[in-house]
Amino acid sequence: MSNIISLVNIKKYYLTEQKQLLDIIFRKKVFYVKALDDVSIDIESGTILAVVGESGSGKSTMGKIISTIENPTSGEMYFENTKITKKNINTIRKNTSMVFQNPYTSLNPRMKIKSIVTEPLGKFNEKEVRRSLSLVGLDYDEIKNKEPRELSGGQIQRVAIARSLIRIPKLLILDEPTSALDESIQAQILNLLLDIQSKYKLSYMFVTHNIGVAKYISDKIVVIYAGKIVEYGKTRDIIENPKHPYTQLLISSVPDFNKKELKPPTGDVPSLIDLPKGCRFSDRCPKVMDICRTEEPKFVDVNGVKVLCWLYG
Amino acid sequence: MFLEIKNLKVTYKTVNGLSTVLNNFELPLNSGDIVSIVGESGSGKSTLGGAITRLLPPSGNESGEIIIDGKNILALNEMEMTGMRGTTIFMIFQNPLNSLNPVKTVGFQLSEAVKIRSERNNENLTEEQIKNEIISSLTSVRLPDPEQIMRRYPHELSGGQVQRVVISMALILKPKLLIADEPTTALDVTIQAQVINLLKELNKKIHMSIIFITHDLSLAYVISNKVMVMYAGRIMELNNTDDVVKKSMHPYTTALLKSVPVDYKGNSRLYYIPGAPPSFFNLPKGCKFNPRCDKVFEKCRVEEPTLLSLGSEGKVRCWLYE
Repeated sequence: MSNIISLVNIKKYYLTEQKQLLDIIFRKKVFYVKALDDVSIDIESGTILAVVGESGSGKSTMGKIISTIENPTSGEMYFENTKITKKNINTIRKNTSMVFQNPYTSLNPRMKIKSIVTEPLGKFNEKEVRRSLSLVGLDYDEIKNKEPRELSGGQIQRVAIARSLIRIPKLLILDEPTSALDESIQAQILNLLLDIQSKYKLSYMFVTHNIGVAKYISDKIVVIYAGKIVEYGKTRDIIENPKHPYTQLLISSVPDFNKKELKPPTGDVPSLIDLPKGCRFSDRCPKVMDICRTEEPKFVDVNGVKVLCWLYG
Repeated sequence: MFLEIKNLKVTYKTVNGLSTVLNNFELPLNSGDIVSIVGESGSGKSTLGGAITRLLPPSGNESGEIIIDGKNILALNEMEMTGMRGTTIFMIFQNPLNSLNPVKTVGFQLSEAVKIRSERNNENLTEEQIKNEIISSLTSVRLPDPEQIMRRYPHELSGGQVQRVVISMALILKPKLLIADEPTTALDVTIQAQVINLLKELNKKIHMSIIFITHDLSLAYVISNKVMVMYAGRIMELNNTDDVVKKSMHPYTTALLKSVPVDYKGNSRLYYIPGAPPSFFNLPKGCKFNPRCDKVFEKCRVEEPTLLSLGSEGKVRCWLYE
């Protein structure tokens, strides 16, 4: 199967403060926030990849880099096996759309629904807007002249999805699209996304912190911790048999109806400016060894799952 | 009986007239219980929390009786109520930054809490003792470097850290009743699990009763021993946690449980409740859930069911069980 998008050794560093002229002259030491460090993933066309991690782990940065909102500091990106450079960046932009977490802030509050949905086309096209809205289960004639504030949370997220689908993209980047919604509305949106995906053979990158949602929607899962991928493989393998100690603890901190005790990792996510030496999870890891504190682990293949851990190396 | 709510009525003044959110609301709570209140947004969960602490917005008005430790707090004046807050009732909000003063250091605000408690209990602590107590409470919520944290301002800490500072304040004040209004919604799953374990520990250690408001049923299952399901300001079901989750009675509870994603992709479709919760101005006739219920019959549309007692603890508001 071909890959719709591949990231190869993508890095994204942000400067902690703007570099001033004097800083350059006096060679002041600058600090970087290492939001993403050496990330390589592939999304096969027609599949759903879920990106899971804590806040500040770089999940959203990854979505932003794929949708070309942000340029990576280094690394290569391939779209349908063509390398993306400054010249052909538009092929990505034509074929990807993004849906954000909070639809009330990502849609213009003063625009009518029909204008919001038609905006990516550049001109108003009633037939297309009608098609796109009916795809997400909304009636064009009923809501075309409404404003976002007149709609409920579930409806407005549907409008945001309709807007992202109007140009029939190949890849949809969904940045926590259901975390602001009630559970019963979340269920509607997840069903809808799966229907659309199988109907049009789209690919999704689904950023979420909810493991239950990731399990329900994805074919593959990427677990990301402090800017590094720690585990990457098929959803079933990762949920049923997590390899990396971080994934194990992450899954055991999710409440579900089968257990009464939660076992979270201790401590907090490290600062991305001053990362621990060696493995980034070594401070919080219950299975830490000497080598973890000194040397960074490399990816190991364990039954088809890629794991970044010395336990398997 | 530690907390008893009788005949509680909460109304909000709005441009469209009075909106009655809670009416004839009754709730008994034993000391040491952890009760979760679940429901969709707009079901009156947070209003109930605000009513118990008397922290409703200015447009809100409440009447009836809320008896804590034999005192009816709705009959107290503002001064007496201030005396109850903190050491008797403590509230944790969804956004922890809103509950701390942004221009005072964490240490200052925690020492205030210690002073208030020692004043109320005539303890006479020295500065040294106060500081030690703050440090020990910060360590017990597992914050690293407590002395560092004391010197910081709330905005310098992460969301999870601030929420833990607020919990350490509860630890200092040792309230008899803690009301937590979606305390973990803004937090990551790992931090959420840490906070939940902390609350459970507090409940065991200082025998504090907790009212835990959430929309996440699986979280309610993990933390509480009783679950109350609310819809349109009414109790739909109240029972032991295991019974609610494993043998739910009300069609609304069953529907909520079915909409939680637990399966893998492609195995099954998620169930969802059609429609949206009703507005308090335009409540349907009969059972308030009848337009969205999949087991609705004639009687539901005409008459509203009362809260029926089933078994020793279970209560359900549904005609199916009459």
